[in-house]
Amino acid sequence: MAQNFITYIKKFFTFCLYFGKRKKVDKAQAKKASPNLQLNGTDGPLNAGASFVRHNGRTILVVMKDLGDVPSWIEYDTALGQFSIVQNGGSVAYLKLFLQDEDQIAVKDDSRILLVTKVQEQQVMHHLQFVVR
Amino acid sequence: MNEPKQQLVAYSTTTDEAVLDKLTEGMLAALALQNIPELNESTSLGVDGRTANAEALGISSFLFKNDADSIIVAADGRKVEATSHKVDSTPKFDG
Repeated sequence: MAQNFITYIKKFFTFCLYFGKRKKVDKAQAKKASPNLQLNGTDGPLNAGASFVRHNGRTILVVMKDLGDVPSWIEYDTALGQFSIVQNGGSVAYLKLFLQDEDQIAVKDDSRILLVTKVQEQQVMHHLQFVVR
Repeated sequence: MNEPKQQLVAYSTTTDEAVLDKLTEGMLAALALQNIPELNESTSLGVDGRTANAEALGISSFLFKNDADSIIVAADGRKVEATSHKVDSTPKFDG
């Protein structure tokens, strides 16, 4: 009997300690406290000016656009003639650029690519993994 | 002894000469960057030394291929050597 009473008292104090003073957080306030940190990457076809060149074993892709997210790696599909720029947030930007046969053969051995993008008024170069299939 | 300067063939999605000029600037700066193997992620490109970069790399001009047109842009940015002209042997680009 006494043990049950003590158990009830303990439960009561536990309730007071953890739930009695719990603040109710407004949904709007909670949203404000945790800002949306997700980057807005670029999905789909790219309409910006772009160029591709190889020189002395270096492969360079220049895109005059701010992708909005950090590029992670690049893939070139020889059948489609299309570059896919995969970004950290999961967005994938496509760039149609059909390379001629000799260049398709040349890029097959490349494992790294230099991607130059325009960020605000600056040009930023990324040294990325490159996959050709 | 000066090495003969070469014309680099580049692919492009545009024929806009102002954009091609910017693309040339970016490509030269990227090619001229010496510490590429040490780069882990990204770096800001200094694109001011365009003429010096072109000189050091021995590049005289870029031949941009786009669709059925090709455009030549001088590497040092001083002049555009030729306006667009038809190149029949170039395959169709979708850019």
